[in-house]
Amino acid sequence: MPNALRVLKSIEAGIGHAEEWLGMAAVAALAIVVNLQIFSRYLFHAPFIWPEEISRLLLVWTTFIGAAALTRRAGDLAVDTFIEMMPYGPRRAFLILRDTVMIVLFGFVALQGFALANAVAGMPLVATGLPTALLAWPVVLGGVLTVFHCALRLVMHIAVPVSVDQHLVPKTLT
Amino acid sequence: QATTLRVGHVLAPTHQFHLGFELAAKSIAEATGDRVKLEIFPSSQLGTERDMNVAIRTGGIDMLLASPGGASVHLKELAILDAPYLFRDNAHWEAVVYGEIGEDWNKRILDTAGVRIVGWFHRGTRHVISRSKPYDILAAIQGEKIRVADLPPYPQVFQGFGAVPTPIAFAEMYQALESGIVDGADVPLDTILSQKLFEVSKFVNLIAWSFAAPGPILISDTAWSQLSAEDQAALVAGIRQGSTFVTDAFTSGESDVKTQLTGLGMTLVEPTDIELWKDAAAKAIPTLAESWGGDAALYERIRDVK
Amino acid sequence: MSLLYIVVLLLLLAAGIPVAASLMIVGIGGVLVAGVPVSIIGQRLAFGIDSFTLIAIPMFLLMGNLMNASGVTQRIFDFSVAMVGHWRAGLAQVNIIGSLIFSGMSGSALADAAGLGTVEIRAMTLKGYSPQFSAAITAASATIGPVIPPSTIAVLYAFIADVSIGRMFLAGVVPGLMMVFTLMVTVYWRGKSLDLPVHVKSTWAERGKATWKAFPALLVPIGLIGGMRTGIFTATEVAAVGVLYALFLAAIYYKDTKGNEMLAAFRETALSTGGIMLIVASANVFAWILAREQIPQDITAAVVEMNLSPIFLLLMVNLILLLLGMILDASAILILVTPVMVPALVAVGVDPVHFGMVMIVNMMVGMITPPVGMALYIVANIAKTPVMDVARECIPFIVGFLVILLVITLMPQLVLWLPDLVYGPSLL
Ligand code: NA
Ligand code: NA
Repeated sequence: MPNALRVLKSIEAGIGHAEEWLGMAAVAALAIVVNLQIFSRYLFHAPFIWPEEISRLLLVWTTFIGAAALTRRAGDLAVDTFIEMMPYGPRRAFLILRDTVMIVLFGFVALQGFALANAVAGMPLVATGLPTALLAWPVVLGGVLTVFHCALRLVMHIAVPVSVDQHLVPKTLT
Repeated sequence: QATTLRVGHVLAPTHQFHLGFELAAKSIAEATGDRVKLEIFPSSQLGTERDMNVAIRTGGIDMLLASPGGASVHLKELAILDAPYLFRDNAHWEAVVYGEIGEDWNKRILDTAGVRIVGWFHRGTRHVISRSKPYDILAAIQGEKIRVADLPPYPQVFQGFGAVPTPIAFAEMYQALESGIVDGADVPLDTILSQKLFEVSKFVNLIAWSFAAPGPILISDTAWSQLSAEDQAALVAGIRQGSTFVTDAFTSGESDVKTQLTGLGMTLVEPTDIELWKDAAAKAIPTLAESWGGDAALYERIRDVK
Repeated sequence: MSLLYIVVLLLLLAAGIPVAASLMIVGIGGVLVAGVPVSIIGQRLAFGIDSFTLIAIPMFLLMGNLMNASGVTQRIFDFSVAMVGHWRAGLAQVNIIGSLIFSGMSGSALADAAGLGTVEIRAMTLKGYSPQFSAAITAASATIGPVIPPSTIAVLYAFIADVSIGRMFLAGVVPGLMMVFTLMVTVYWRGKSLDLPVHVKSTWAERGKATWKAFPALLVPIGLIGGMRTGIFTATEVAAVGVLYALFLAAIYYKDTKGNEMLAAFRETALSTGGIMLIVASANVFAWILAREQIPQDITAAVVEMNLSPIFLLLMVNLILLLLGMILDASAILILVTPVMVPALVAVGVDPVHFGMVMIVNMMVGMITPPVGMALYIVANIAKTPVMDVARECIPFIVGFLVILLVITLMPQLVLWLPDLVYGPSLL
């Protein structure tokens, strides 16, 4: 593997770790905030009205950051059956094509998230008054990170052909 | 050439809002010789209210019927229209939204958000239902757990009454009443029928804490500017006709719904101390004022409109 | 035209484009074809999952992962050994009972197969069971998890089909117990023909001790259902309280959790939430196009027009779902099929709660059938044995599950009896 690629890979690993920590923090915060809402209802007999909105925000952040991290671990749900049946050459070509599609798609998603963030500029969320754009930024960030991971994978498929043979066990979520 | 305006709202095609828009569309088409057409999308077909409030700024849709809370993302003051015991009667709210105050809002919402208000729809009267005991006096609701929507002014108003406002998702409301997670719920009358809440509650307590709560009909300035002055006037006049229809439908419809609910075994309860309820709700005004931008005196200014 | 969307979607999926990406591509295509401003895409992605109900999904995932990390898994295993270890093919029976107990506190089959499964497969292979049989019974029993409450997939169904989460949860109890019974009978019969080993019988003192240790785990299902039924908590809240309880078991009660296991539980939850919720978000784009094109209404009209009996229709849908289940992940199928099929089924008189549970059991068959049986991959990986060998050992269990699927399809009262008893008859 060329040196430049190795550096790129280690940068990607660092970003991947940051994503996972961010996702973990969001999950922990989610658990805390929902419990706070329950306690406020039963202990103080006066529910806070902000936890629901905050917890929904956290869910959106967890989703897009977690999804980017999952892409990096190649655990995004896909049907690999047919790809695995292909001979080496076509399979490599196909994986290159697939990652290209992913890069274009998530680049578009990031742009749409950015357009949404602009469109809702100055709009507050109803209960907390926080900017509605906080719901759009995770789409941008998740999209950019996914593009980054797919791009690196694409470069690997082109530069280091053997990476095509690395088989990853698909993850399930149910 | 003809201009087609896409109008969105979140209710079913059988709801009076939809019928009101259809009436408006007909009269606008007639008045403009089909130069202006309304294409109406019911049932959130163009997205939720929040989606549409964003889309009207980006050109995704031309017009929408908003709720005061939803429209407050464009201009905060509009949230005041949800405030408790704000309007006396139909003449009162119409005098406010079509008068000086409404005109001021219309000017400022154009500056802040690039949208205009072309009319207003009456949004019904809100009472409170209860499972096992009537709230015939204010003391009866105190300490009771009442399901409310989790945004201003609902929790604050019921806290003002001395109840324990309990935010529960709309979809879980039936079950929450049935299982006793809450003792009552804040709902418009027609929701009691559509959600079959009469199966899980006994009393409709006619406190009428929210009356009309008029919802603005928004149009993007881009769409508005495409119309000639004459067609703009026709649009406003047509919407006003639809609005009158909606107001009449709610006013006459309310007594129909009450009869139906009685037939389904619910008991209608007239509180004997309504002034106490009004005073209690007024306690929430200073807190609520934050949700409409902090101008607590606006509440009194609106109440004072003759 | 409208069918084209579904065909293109299936082609993209077959080509190995990730599920979320396939849904987005078709959704974006639909938006462009319909001539609607593309800005709706960003809104649907971000706002479509901005829902308090959906928070139950990461919370139930976290609860199951934390329970695994808390050391409760080993106690459930010990308890099951003490109770049924001496039966014929004892450790295989332990495997089933263990999953039954674990299913009451976890909403996913993954948490069972990867957590409890590791303990079970190790113990079974040490006792002389073949790795492929050990892996097969682990995978089959893990599928009980999403049927018995709590269940993340039931939350998802309740959200999309707009039915009560409480009813959906209770609807799984009888089918889940039927699955347990079928597995136990199959194992007993296999044990006879294969002469599988038995464990020494535990004394009553040992059983008492094992019960005491596992007691906090046995309480969880009662707390969950009780908390929802009495109205103290909503489904989302009950899941979050379950998280607190799992943390309590880990940090205060059992005290043998390592910090990195705890962190791994949070990491797994974040990743799984990302995977499942990105599909939900993308499905929002796709569903918006379906709704705009009135596809569910068209299908409903066609179904009503054909004048099929509800039973016949359900059987047909089951067949399609079984085929889809062979190539697609369960949550993806559920997200695709629910908005399209539920209106039509309700129109011909099928109870949406009944259909939801039939669909979930159907999906569970797909989890242990190749080529995309997700549970198979996980257990094969743990047992270090080829996937196809495990799949072969799964055949008797698959046959048993298919019989159950047929029975609950034909007899809705088996599914609806418990929710009706607890919540009163359905609104429909
Ligand atoms: Na098991
Ligand atoms: Na479960």
